[in-house]
Amino acid sequence: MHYNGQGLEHEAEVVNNQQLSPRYCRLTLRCSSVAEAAKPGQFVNLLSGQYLRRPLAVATVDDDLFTVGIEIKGEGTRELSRLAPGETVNILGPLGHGYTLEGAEQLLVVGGGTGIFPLQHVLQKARAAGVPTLACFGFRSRQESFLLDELEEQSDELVVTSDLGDLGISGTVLRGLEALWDSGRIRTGCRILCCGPKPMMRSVAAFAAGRELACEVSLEEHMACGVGLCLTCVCKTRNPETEAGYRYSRSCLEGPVFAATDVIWD
Amino acid sequence: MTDNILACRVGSVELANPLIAASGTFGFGREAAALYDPACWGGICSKGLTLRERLGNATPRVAESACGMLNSVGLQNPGLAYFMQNELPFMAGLGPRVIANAAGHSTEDYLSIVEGLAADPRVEVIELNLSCPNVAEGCMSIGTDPRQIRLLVEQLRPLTTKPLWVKLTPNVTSIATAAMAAEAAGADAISLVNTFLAMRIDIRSRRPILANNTGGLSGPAIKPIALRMVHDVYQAVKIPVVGMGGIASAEDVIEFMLAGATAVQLGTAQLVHPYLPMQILEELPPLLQELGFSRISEVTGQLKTY
Repeated sequence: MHYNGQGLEHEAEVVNNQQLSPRYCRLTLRCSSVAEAAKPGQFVNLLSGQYLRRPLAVATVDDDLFTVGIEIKGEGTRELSRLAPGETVNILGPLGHGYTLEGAEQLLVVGGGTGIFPLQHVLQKARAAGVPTLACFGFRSRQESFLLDELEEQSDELVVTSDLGDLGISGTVLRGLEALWDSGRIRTGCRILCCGPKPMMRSVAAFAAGRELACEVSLEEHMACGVGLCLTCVCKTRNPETEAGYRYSRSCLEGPVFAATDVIWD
Repeated sequence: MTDNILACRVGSVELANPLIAASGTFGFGREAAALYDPACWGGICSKGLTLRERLGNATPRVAESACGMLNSVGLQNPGLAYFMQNELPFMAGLGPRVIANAAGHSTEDYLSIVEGLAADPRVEVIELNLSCPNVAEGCMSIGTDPRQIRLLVEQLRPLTTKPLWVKLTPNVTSIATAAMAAEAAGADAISLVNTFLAMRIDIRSRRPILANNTGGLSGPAIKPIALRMVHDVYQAVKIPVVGMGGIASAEDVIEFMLAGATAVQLGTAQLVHPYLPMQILEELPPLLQELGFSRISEVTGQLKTY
């Protein structure tokens, strides 16, 4: 038994708040323990003026700083998006089970929306480890895209898609993946790491399964505690031990990252 | 004579302090043990145990509301046998009193669960869950009918000499009547309140936010109602009352104890602030001193009503 004091709870200083697009912003927070310990795919749970915390993936890490991306969806995220430099925010983290970076000959990150942020962390750590990367990110339109220069810089090769067709390849990330596959740039031994809306992750999981590529997805469910206590943020994962063939796993503790083959997509 | 001014007792059960982790907000202690040493608690209530494994309800299982949250977890738990073999040894090693929360779907279920729990000396208290609002059978459907409470507790009472606490639902007209039924049937203490049956709606999809349509409301939103109910029950029965419902501070603990609680349970607040029990335990001694109490057990029932 180890006693951690208030080990995972921190008052993080807001160092920067950057508007990325009409609906997205990014906070730079100062907290050395999160910056040092966070693994790609892990998240922090931020206190706002609302009752429950808001889980946000750790995006980039730099010395004692880390960033989180916010999609403004409701009051809690709106409040967080208005934090100003110099203010502090109470956070718990890093939390959850992240992506597997080890043992892959190449990493292909695929994402959209807030899913792009944890994948930035993957790209950062992969580069530091010398693992080659491909990235495929989908946006709704050029106007709603963000961080293109940064993503270009962070990945060895970047493919961008847009639903409206005014940026990169027209269509969903699946069109981008097909283009990468057809051009032979996806190597055997490549692992796909995906984070985005559920339909996107489901189709990426099917893409990977069809080509015998390993694939991990990061699931997001309505969450209360973020530390495994409340059993609310669960998702169905395959389990031969039960009659039903599944159990509910906690996206905060066993996840948010799961092997795509373990996930039951309802 | 102990010099621990936070020590208290619920009937025959001695607690190092009045804080008990509420059932369904603490698993079996493993998750908290990864964050801090759970030995700080006075007691730990297990997740509600059913006879067989329950996978739980569909998602979403949680919805936020002003000063609180609704949940419809639906008693996801590994079942009694797994608990006894794999979780109870761990729980018993943590230090605080071990309280097993029993949640049946039928009378037969409750009989089997209580029999199973009664046989193991590591279970120190059995808390009967007659109050979960998120399952179709048993639990709250029993707890809303004083006659059924009495019948059930009368059948369970002879099965064990362990303290039997009855956890009541607030979704009744008179919680005092429910508490008296449990007392008459031989309960050793009453714990209250479980969550309030509630609902949230997504106005765009016109659907309930919870996949179960309804769920149980908890958090500071329910505190004043829970407090009134603890007061009602304290006046109606002679057995001890374990109070809960929105407790989030040392002041809240004192408020519930003034209303009649001999110990309290902490649930939702420590979901948002997992280190809260330690903070409350730090704040209680100076607060007691400020209020003119020399030990916490003196606080119970010291409310001066108009």
